[in-house]
Amino acid sequence: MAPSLASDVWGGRAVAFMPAGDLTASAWTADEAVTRLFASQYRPLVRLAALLLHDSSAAEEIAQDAFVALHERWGRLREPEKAVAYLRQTVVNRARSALRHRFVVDRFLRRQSEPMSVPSAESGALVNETNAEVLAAVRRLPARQQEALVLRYYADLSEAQTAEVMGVSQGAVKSHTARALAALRRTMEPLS
Amino acid sequence: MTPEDVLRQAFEAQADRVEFAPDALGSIRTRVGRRTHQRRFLTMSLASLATAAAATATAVVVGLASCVPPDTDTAPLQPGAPSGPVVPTSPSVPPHSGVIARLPIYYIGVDRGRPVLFREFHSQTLSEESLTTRMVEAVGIMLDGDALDPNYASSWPASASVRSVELDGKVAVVDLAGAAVNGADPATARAAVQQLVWTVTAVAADRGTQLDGVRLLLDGKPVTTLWGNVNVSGTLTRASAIETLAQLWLISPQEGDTVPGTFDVHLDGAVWEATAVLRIRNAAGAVVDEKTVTLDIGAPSRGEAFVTVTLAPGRYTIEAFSRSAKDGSIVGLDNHAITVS
Repeated sequence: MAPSLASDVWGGRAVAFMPAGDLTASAWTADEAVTRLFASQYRPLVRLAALLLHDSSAAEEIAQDAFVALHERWGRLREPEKAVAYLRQTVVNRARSALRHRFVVDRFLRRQSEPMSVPSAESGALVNETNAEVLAAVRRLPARQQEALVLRYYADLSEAQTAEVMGVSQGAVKSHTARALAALRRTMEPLS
Repeated sequence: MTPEDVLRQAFEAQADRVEFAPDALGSIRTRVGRRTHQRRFLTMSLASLATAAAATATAVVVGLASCVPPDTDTAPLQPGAPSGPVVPTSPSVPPHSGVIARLPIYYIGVDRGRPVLFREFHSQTLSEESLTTRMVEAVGIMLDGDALDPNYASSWPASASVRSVELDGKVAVVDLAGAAVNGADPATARAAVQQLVWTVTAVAADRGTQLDGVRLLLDGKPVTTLWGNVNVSGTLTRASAIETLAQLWLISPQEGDTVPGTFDVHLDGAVWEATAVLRIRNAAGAVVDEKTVTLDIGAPSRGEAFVTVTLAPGRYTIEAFSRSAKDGSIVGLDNHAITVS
């Protein structure tokens, strides 16, 4: 059999978010929505969660949670554009909760035992020292500033989209981003 | 480079190191099915109670009894809806048993005479949950060389075993026994060392820990040259993906999987013009389907694609390959035998 046209095949953009406008479907069932959006959005969402959490195993769990929640909510969303925004929002919210939980556990463990010998993700080295320094500096920023940077400069969202995902005003996004960049400047100036 | 560009580059580099388990869509569908079932059961129970409230107490008992859930709580979303592959190496988790980890293991296969690495996920019960336990188990599985796919193998000597794996800051120190002698040719020997490095660093990355690399000890002692031809002094790092990994991976289903009639095929690779071919043969070897698959990004980057396939029950071989840009010949073939239930 000759190879068929690629039209029956749908792949996903693994590195960046597919522009929501590329998604065309208005009558998907919840199952179809999950299956189709999984192809294009799962990996970007896991990567987004991993950047927010610095933990890829928990990141997969969070991205999967978002799809389970999407299935439940599909009747109210119906549109892929809204669904993508909802998935991002869910991932950001759950990453926040996970970080809060981790903060509490870490504080408890610090009281209970000696520091772990396993290096944490923040001290884990990357091959590229510049990247490692930048990421370490990002991790020292307040959580909201980190979110703004990841959404703006990894997910490539606009200020308006970032505001929607973070549940804050555009002005707040602007100010989080500006403060974060100002705080990073000392680290980044010698590198740029 | 602007500060924004530096940030983008750092985020991309970190995001690229995320490792993915192979059956995420199956997990989501199972969880959705479980929630749907629980909701349905709750709704039916409440409805039954409401009806029963207007009737006799006996009717309440009958009403509830009629809502007893079926034995399985992982019913498909809808009749005929696709669900993820059933991986035979993933036994169900009995309550209070040890943690079952899915560990990424790299094996050596051959593409046009060149040793290249393929990855499989193997399930293993851990005696305790720690990164070093995961790395010890993963290296042990890798050294056993018992890949699910018969085309993959380990090129470490059969006598090799793990003494320990410890973390020294950003480096995993792997101590092996019985690994000093090996008859592998230089290219295969280098691939074997990369097998170890990719496996150990993938297990760590999977737990959110980015390592610089691996330091090798043989019988507790540092070693500078392995098998007479591979330099293993200092910290061993991942060689470039384009030179080390197979051009195309058929990630899911894995070899030997039993899958439902509709399932997803997951491909990952660095192929010319992002184009791969998916070919399905029946038990007699006849081609029953063949389609062109567009990965999300082309070589030299590694892209991926998910393709939903529907097949009648039976045994099949799924082949994934790309065509040579030069002469159209098949390159990077990866194939897995599966059963459709």
